[in-house]
Amino acid sequence: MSLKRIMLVDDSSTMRLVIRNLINTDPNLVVTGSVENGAQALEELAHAQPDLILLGIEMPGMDGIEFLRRVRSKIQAKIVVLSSVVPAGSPKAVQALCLGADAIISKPSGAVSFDLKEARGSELFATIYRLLGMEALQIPA
Amino acid sequence: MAESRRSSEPEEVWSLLAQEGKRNLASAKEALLKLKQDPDDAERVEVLFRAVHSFRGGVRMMGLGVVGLLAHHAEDLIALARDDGVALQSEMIDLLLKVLDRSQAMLGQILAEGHDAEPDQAAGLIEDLQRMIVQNTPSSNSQPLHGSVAPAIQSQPVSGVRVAEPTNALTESTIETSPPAVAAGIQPNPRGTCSLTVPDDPRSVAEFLVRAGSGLGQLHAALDALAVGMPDALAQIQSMANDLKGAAERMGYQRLVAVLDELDRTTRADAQTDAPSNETAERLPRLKNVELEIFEELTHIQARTAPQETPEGNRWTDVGWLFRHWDAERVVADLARLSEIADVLDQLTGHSTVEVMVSGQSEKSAQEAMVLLKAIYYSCIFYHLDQAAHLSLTLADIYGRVAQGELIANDVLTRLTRTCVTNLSGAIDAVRAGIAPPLGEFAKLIEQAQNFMYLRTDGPVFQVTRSVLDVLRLPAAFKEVMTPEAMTKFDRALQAGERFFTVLADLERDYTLSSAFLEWSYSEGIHLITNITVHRYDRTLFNFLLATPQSRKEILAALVQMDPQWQYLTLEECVSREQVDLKAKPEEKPAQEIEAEAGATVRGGAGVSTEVIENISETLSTLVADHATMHRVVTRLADQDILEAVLCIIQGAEGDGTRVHRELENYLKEWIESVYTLGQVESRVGTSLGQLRLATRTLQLAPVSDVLHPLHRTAHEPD
Repeated sequence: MSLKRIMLVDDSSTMRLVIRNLINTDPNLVVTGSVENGAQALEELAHAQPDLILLGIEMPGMDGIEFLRRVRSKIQAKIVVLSSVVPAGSPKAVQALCLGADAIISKPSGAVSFDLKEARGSELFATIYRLLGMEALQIPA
Repeated sequence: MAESRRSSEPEEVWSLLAQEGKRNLASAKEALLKLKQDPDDAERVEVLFRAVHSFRGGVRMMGLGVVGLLAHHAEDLIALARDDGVALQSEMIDLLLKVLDRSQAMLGQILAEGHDAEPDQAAGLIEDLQRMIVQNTPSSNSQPLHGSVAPAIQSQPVSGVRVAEPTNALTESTIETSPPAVAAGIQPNPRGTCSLTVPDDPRSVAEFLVRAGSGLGQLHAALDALAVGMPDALAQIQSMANDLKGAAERMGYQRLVAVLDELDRTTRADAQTDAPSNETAERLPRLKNVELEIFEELTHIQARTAPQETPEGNRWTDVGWLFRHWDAERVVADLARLSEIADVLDQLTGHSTVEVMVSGQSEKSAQEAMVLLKAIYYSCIFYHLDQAAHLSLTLADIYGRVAQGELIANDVLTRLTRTCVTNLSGAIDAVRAGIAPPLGEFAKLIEQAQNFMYLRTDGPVFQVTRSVLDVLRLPAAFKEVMTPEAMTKFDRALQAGERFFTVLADLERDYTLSSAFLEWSYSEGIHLITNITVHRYDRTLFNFLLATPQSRKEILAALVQMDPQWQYLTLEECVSREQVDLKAKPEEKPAQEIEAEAGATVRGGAGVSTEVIENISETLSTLVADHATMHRVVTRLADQDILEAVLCIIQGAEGDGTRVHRELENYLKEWIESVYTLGQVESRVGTSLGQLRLATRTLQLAPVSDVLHPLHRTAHEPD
């Protein structure tokens, strides 16, 4: 299986670190970009060439909604909105969906676990694999 | 083939629809004749459009595909006059008059013969209409898109050529499989990728959207044609896809290009295999899905361009405008299908066997529901039903999460879905009939939909887990984020007699600290259960719940090593609610003192050992976990209708004995496994109860002081 490129856009450095750690446990995925907000993400896209973007919603500078609006139709990368402020059916979630987010995951309710072993089977990986059309990878705990 | 529909409709409805159809044709004709005198009468154009639109809606309800298709094209031509400022020339009016006459004739024939007209009765007129639409569409006539955009493109790299340098860390194989770089930006871009940071030229976007809207209309008409057995439509779809793809590539709309590519590929394959018409039924849903995807891509392109940036007000950003080019009528079928899906989901959740779960049928149905709800959302926007639109999208979000496996569909959701279908249908019917829609229920339904996520946690299993959590004094927010996995870990730690701590961590300030902390949290002996986000002032903190066999001292030492100034990490031990006299006896109090207070006769004596108390709490944890398992298995078993399942298997096998045998065996195997699990759990519950009885007797016989002392010791083992 070829390596898939992931880009992280979240204002929390901890969140970025945790997700980077998680993604690094998967030999099929590589983080090629990690930035704090939408504006930086726009600048970084060309370099990161992501297959999938994990996007926070509430960020200073350009937020996730605005980023989504700007890039959705212009890039092929799948966009997963990853946010604690978008429980199912909330106005933000609905807005993100309306703007074409490919998936929305609420963090951290189990979706982004800080526990690496548990996270292997988590929603985050399941979503990434589904959107990128990859076969689920079994890694022994 | 023309389909005979008349027999399936109640005679009365049929006759009403036919009368209404004739009336609409008559008013359209009247309007056309007046427009012949005064082609610029905008109000008259509106009357004409509405009459033809209503006529089309009516014949669609009657299931008359050929007449509907003809009316659809007529409507598209009139829309050019109504929306795009195209003058109604006399040859257009003449053609439309012919269309009306032919429609009337066909309708009369249909009423007499009882079946739909043959496709060739309308084919010639449809071609004429298509030709006239293409000739008069602004983007393909006065200002050819190629001409206006080409100069900007010539300086751009060819689409598909990779322009950005790969990062060092990546291998060759990555580079080959990465998506092609976006190459066709309108503005020159030093990075060589799409013009993401530079806004598109509004005029080009507007031109593109007009062209795409017309393409979408063609696609829709072609799908209608395909539905009534005109296989030539495949070639039309393919040419539309190719044409629009070129324009989309030039604008850098990568997603749309991908969708059109797919459409081009499937239609080409279909056209080549010369598929017989009975495969239309299989092909059509797939193509309709692509149609929705194209529509959605166009709305995203619209959303990129804010109203003030467009040259002619906000028309290009108005979804309704785009939608009219597409199909506002489909909402009726969409709602009906959504109702069917709710039924399917009910059946699936009622028989939640392992097979059903593994097959992912619920997820597939949920995926379909999500797509339908998005389409319904656009219909609601079109009919100016804002709250209904909000409701549709909220449900779409929920179904999207069910499709992802994040939420589980249950009867609460399906019931809610049906209520929504009823209300949405009611509101849309009202708008179409020109009366004020009943909107009272929508706010309530939106709230119910939003609450769904919380409702689903009201099940008995979750109540058990919550009461387990209640053992500790934890911030309430932890209960909201407990997943079944986290609960299992929590329970395991409880049974192992580990201590629970929360660490409030400010990790955003210092990268070294956050790395060190995370590394520590993954280390041996530290069991991270879950975490919550805490907003304090303008800072985002994480509160981690962890279990560990280590003592408070050891944990403190580890934290101080990471954070010597004690600035960023705050440790708190989680204490048990049931602990005795906690306030009166602070933990620093030496054990000897407590012993003295308790009247120290215990140590080494025949009284109660710490072990007894520990055994009780362990046994209780096992019981709670077992109860949850039993509840799950029993619910699953109780929900299964064996007789129905067996009948289903027998019917589904169509007389194939081996298949019946195999499927019955599989089905029963799962049943037997469940029963076996129950047996195991039952025997464990028996053992637990025996242990509890024994422990209770021991406690009953011991003096109070003997009980208190080890309880305290359990809570505060010497560090």
